[in-house]
Amino acid sequence: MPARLPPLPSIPVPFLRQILVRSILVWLGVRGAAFLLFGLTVPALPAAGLVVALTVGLTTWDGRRLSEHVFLANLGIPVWVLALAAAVPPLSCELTIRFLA
Amino acid sequence: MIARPILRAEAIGKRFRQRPVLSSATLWATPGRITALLGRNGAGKSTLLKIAAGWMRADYGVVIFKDERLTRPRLPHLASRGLCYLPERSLLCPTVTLGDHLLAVQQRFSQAALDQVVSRLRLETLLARKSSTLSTGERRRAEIAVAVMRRPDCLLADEPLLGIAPADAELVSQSLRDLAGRGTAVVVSGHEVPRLLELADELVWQTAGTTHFLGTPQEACNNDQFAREYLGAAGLRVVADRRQQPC
Repeated sequence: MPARLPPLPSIPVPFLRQILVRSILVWLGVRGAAFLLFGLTVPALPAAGLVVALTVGLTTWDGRRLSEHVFLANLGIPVWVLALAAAVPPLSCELTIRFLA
Repeated sequence: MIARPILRAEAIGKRFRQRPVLSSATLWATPGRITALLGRNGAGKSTLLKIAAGWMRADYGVVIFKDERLTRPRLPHLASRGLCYLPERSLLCPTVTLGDHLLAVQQRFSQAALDQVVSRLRLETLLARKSSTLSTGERRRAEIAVAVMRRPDCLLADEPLLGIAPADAELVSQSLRDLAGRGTAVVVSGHEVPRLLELADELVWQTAGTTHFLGTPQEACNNDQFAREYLGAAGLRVVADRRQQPC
């Protein structure tokens, strides 16, 4: 029988909510900056990827600043799981924009 | 009989840019015992604790936790195996309430009863407050509550008594003693010499990038070099008081 990996602990809801809200706010900020710089255009795929990466990076950095990471690390949750959660809102928003355009 | 150390950080070295902070530092945590890590400001106590907890990477050295040898330990991995790390800076997320922090620990580990811990550390009125609104003493009590809820096998607490009132310090000390009484290996750092001498079972002195095991508080008090170089005049008075007390 293949060895089973221990289950990854899920992010507690209040913390997940904080991450998602912060990620949306950061995405709005990044998009706003892009709008001021480049105007209202549907970004090419690499540019959209850059927006998502920037949003995840800034959200993750902010989480570390707020001691969120050390608390969640004490629950056994690694940073990449938090980065993954932070990637959901910008990815969804970028996909929605492309779909609507 | 003294148990085998559960956590060993061996021959740890770390430099920040050109400044070496740790050259060959060693830290052991033994179940059921409280180890106090003492040293001047900038001696690298926090760095050593961070490395032992897997929150910072060492340049060299090894961390052994529960017989697992790790050259690149990570806090989430160590935490899921029973370690808890309380940093000098806040453990709590300022935008989340204290109650939510404690519930998260309870849901993940389901160890201690929330009500008992809250009442023991007198946190009843603070549960609905966000941690950014807590005073230093309240925050420290809350962080200790997280550790007590977790009931870890090993607790590394960086300056848990820093800047808090004597009544709060007593509550924090008592909780650390209770944890050690249940078999947790506790390591605390700090400068509160009288209280740490009272609290600790053994002392480790960190100086010049390395660590010196001083033994029991009584043995540490009899170490002239430690008394002269770390304690200074005020500390020597404390030591003199202790020497007058029966062992």
